Amino acid sequence: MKRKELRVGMDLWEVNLQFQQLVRLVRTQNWRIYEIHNGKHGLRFYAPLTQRKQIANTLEHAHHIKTTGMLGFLIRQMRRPSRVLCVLCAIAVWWILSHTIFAVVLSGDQEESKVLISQTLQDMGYEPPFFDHDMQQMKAEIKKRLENEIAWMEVYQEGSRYHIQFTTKEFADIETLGHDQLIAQKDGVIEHFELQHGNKLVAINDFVHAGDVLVNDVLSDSSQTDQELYVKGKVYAYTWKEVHVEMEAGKLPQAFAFYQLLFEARRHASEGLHDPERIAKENILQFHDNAGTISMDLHYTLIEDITTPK
Amino acid sequence: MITIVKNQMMIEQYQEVLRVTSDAITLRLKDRMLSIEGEDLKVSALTKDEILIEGQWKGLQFHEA
Repeated sequence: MKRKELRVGMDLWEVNLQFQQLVRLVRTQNWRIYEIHNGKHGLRFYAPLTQRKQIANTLEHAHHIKTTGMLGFLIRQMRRPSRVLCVLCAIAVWWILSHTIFAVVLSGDQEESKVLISQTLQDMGYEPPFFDHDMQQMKAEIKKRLENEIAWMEVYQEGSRYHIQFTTKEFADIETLGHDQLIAQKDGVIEHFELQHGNKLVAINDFVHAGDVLVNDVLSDSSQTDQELYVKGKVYAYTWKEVHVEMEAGKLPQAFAFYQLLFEARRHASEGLHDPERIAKENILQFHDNAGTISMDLHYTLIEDITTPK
Repeated sequence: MITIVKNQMMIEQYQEVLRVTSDAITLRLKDRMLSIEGEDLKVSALTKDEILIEGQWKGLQFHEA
């Protein structure tokens, strides 16, 4: 008999019969029996479990000795109610855990969209851990709720996690060009232009006053006819700013006080500056201790866009 | 039909098992008798039509029924 069949499971029987009688029964009942040998009280043989009922009914005096293999092990284990209960509990725990989602992993192009999807999932009641839902229905619901924010989304399950991949919907900025002149908001010396449209009325190194028109929306052609232009761009100029800062004396050594006031002054000077605006030059006019107050006066030369109000 | 592989002998279409001991097994086939002689002979599997014999067989003899 093949070892494999024994490992799966066979019944071992003992019966007090002559060999010829057993053979006759095998032939009439169409049984399959294996490893026929002499036992203590008669012939012993192995038979498949499927024949157990038939053998027991036909050979009433046959003695079932044991069941081998995995099936035998299972049958022996399942005789105890506590073991059955344990197996049922294990199946229940396995089933519950395998149908529970412990995390939702979001991956996409924008952090803002991640927060939005996460918030939407919470609103929909999908806050981990949650019981496994219909994933496609969840996907459809999110897409419906965020149809204006999410361009593409894919949801798939990996173990006890939902993975949501997405790309954010992008909107093209349609810029409408205007005809507003660029006017100096403060005095300065023109440093450079960043102009896409318009007619420059001043040149680099020209001194301009607040209120001067720097870039016009009208250009005269060769026949002295005014042509209307769009105006777009920035005009950068050197401007000046004086800063006065002070602090109580005695708190810090003078060198530290100097640098603290210097940094404070730089902070004041650069207030409202945006890239690529910057401090071009810094001159310390005065640094002195007067009646317990250390003060510093500085003069700054800035490069800034003088057409944008601040 | 008799199939022999190493120490196993598969006999198909047997009619009856007449004698089984550890040194001899006698079977009745359709039209003749078969005697198998050897050592540690045993019936490993038995079905309606087939019988598998294992052991150190030394000789086979066919007789008229």
